[in-house]
Amino acid sequence: MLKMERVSKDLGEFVLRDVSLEVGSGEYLVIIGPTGSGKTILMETVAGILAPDGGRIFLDGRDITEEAPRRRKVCMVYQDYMLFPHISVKDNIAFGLRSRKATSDEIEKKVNAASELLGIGHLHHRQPETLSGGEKQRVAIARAIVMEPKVLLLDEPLSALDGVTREKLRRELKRIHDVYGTMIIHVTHNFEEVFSLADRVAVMSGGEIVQVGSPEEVFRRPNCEMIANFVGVENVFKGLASERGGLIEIEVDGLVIVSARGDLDGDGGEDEDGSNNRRGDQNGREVFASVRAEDILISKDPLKSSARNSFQGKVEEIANGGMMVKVWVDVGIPFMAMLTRRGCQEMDLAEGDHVYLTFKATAVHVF
Amino acid sequence: MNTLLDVPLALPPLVAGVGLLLFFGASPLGRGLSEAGLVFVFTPLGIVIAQFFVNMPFMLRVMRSTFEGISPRYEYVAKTLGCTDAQAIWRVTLPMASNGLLAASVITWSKGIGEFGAALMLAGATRMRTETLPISLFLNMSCGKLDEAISAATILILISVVSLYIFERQGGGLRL
Repeated sequence: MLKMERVSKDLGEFVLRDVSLEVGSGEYLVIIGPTGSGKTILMETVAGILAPDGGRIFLDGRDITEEAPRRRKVCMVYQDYMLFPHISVKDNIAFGLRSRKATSDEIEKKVNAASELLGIGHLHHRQPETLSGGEKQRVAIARAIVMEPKVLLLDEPLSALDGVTREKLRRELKRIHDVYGTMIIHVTHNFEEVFSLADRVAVMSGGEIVQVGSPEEVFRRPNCEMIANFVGVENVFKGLASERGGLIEIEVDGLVIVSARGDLDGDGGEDEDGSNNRRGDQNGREVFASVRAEDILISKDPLKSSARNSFQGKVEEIANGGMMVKVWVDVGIPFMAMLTRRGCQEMDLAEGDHVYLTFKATAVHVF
Repeated sequence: MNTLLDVPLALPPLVAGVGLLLFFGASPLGRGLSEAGLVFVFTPLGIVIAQFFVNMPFMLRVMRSTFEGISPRYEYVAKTLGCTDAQAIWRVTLPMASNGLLAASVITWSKGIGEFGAALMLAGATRMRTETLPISLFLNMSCGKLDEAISAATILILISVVSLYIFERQGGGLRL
């Protein structure tokens, strides 16, 4: 288990502030946060490349705060691969085992096992510069896993890759995690990676960890505006809340959105501002409301349903994003809804059409 | 420190030569060295010192540029892969810098070969003793031996062209 206790580090441009975090052995933790939020420093601190200004780091109960990187059994993979350009692919993978003075039999065996797992055996004799991005990243990962580290740190390992390669490598990461059972800490700013890989997700902002939880928790119930904006909940609105009959009505630019989830599900106690107000008196308080794009139904005629929120508006823009189509609708305030490409074709939706947006009160999250 | 190292870059070589001459000829330290057998004034050894002093900052600049061009993350990775600081430099940074270092050496060597002012001042211009290529060019020119002067000039041109070629090939991205 990796345990960070109030770790801080100030590099001027980037900072870590009192980061406390526990990651279990064999856990896949994804750290997500905008650029400059201190994710890379956090990783480099765990790896021992940066010495923290304050706080302690423990690995399996042992204090490793002062320990040299080479003794920590923590390996790191960077977004831009950092393969050593002057040696072959195979020598790159074997690099760590050679520093450890492993026998050539052992090196051969481990290098081949890792290469097979990642499908890069045929690249052994190539020079790194002749590889594609995906191949380079596989080699970089192989170079780290042959060391059988206790913690594998991946710093945006998929960000530099194109869509198809990224998808493939993402599945391979999952498999590597299953096979080696290593604790993986994976930094990203892409939330798709969170859902497909993470056991737990930590959200970082401004050098602090602002929320930790299961992906579901963090995405459905972001605990501050930053997360909601960041994790891709497109529809975030600021409005005035008032309570009516057990539901919360949020007035946003004259539009009233009804929410059944204003009561923050009991886990909001730690928030700095306004947390006292949450329990009882919601009246007249400024709140943020978010609705996930997938939770919004689009129709050309008004829908008869139990859903509390239904608005009429005009389609402003339709953006084709592969499987899903994003539709921006202006109902007085701009909403973004998602539907499948098929659904969009069947509805024969075009920009300028008048449509109805419908969503349940339970789909509106207030914070 | 950097500025101090760069002083010879801005100083006219002739002035640097005078400085060296005074230092090795008139200072107690210089006299001590010559008593110990290290005579720099008007000797071939003086040429070496003059070339070294004038061109060393140039070499350092190219080397600095070489190392700055290598991301420190290579060393970080090497350290997480079991290297000590020294091993990381030896196994990763130095080999990665080798082309740049070669390029730097060649171009600096070529500049050293062509060093005139400082060498003239410190080592003098004694025929067949402290007669480097540029000094030979100068001596032959000043006594009208045009053919010899032109041969020396031709050799210098060849050296500079070849070293520039190697520099561009090996050290492509280096800034001076």
